[in-house]
Amino acid sequence: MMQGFLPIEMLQGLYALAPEVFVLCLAFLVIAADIILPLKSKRRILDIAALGLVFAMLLTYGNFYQQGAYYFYNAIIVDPFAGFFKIIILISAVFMLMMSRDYKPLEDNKIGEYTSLVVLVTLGMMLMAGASDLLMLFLSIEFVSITFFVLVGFLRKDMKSGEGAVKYFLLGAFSSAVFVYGASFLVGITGASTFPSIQKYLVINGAGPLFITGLIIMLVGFGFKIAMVPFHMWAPDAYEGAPTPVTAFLSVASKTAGVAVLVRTFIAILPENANVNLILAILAALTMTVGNLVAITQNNVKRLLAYSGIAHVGYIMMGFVAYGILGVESVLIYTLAYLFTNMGAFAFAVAIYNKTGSDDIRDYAGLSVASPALAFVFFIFLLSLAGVPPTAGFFGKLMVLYAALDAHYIWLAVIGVLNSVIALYFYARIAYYMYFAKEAKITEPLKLSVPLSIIIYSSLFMILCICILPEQFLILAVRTVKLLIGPFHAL
Amino acid sequence: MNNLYFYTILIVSLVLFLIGIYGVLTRRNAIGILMSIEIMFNSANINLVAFNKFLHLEASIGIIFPIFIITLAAAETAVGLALILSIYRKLKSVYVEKMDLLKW
Repeated sequence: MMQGFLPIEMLQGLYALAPEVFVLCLAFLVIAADIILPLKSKRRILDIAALGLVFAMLLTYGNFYQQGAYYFYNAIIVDPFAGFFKIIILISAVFMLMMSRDYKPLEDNKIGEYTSLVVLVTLGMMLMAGASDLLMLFLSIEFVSITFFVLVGFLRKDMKSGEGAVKYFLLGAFSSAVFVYGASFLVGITGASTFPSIQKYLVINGAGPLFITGLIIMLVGFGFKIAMVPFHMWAPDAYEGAPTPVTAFLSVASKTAGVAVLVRTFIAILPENANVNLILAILAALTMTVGNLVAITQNNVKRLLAYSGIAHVGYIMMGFVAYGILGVESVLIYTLAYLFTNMGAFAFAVAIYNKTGSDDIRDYAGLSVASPALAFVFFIFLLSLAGVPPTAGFFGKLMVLYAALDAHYIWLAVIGVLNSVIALYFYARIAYYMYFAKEAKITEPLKLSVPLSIIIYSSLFMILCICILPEQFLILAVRTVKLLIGPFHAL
Repeated sequence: MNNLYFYTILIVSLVLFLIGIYGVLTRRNAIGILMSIEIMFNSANINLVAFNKFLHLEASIGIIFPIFIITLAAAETAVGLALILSIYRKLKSVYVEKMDLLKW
């Protein structure tokens, strides 16, 4: 543990973590820009941050050429798996900043503060994706949670925002406490906190009942972060209260970072004799079913997308339960599909909110008459959420179901298919209001601003791309997963 | 003898953890819930220090980890109190059952 201080090692680590270092500098730059720029051009800060994050994406590309190297005394691992999730997080951060540009409730004088928080939370999630040490994991998860509490409650004049933030805070802090209690068993028993040391301990001594108990308690903590049933209660409230761009960010980036951490932790330190797969399978089935059933009765679009997001977590967990190369690969493809689909849907929610000032799906009536082309694009996003071909959502679901069948979880796959039928119903409800509702609430054509149309059309392109030309994405996913699983288990 | 001490400490921390969970589930006051969460964080600290003392005296992680936990718990409390204060200004109450704008 206590090696001497070696500046060369430190420099190597900083070089390997160039994207993170860059994002940190960007956050300071944003704060400086907030001081310098006059009030009128404060919205420029969002552009600066978005451009900076695009550059960080290019830097992250280097991660794909690393073979899983540990840095900072094994606290952080840089490998394609981390790179994949970092890219997803950065894309959603860029989209989120672009979405914020036209989000009206955000006041101009708060933009600098808001942007710096978003950039910092992106940094936290990037560290989460690369954490290979329980202490690092705990620190990065807390970093992300605490920043998100502030972001959710950012609209101080809005009662709902404050209430959502308090509820999110209470359950988030509770889950952190549960997580750290579980981690205390793992650290205590093995006397080490890095994954390589814990693996070494497991190989020599095996896992006792206390170790497995700790792991299951940690699973509860993770469950809160990714909004897994029965730990999902905070999600709808936080999502409805938060400013819509933050909701989009929370539902995509925070969830994918949670999934990354969950997958890495369980692949790295799950002992051979711990049979948690059945628990995970039951939780996945519950998550899908509860998410979809409750979503049926929702009228607020943010709340509806929150419950649909819970259902999507169920599908992601189904891929994770299947385990092995195919299982994790399906998780990666599903998260990629989820990213573009959800971001597109939330961009529409922002566009329509700016027009009508309402998040109610009954106020979407008449969209198909007022602007038929956009209504059709929105319809495609809904199809992708429901998992209908030819969209990315369909391909993701196909992969997940295939992985589950391959791992002989036939009952789970059946529940998954039944759930997509339920899901089709409530997504079709939105389409129903758009196309067939009698009284039109939207009468003038919807005008998309430039940032929103970039989000919507690039997401649309990616959604169709993933389903029609999946080879490239599959090759990427297989490569990523092989390097992740390779060092740990010889499959 | 040593073992007996060890298990006693583990049970104490487990009891603290359960008291914390009970508090989170039954308290109606947001500040009370926050205090219960702090108790849960402390049970993890006791666990870590006890394990370090009885199982891995040579490892320093059991001492380092609690320091981070204490620091982060303080940071979390600071943000949480700010949020509760901001909602108190409008609601004139910190009771969670009064926060009922968002419901399914």
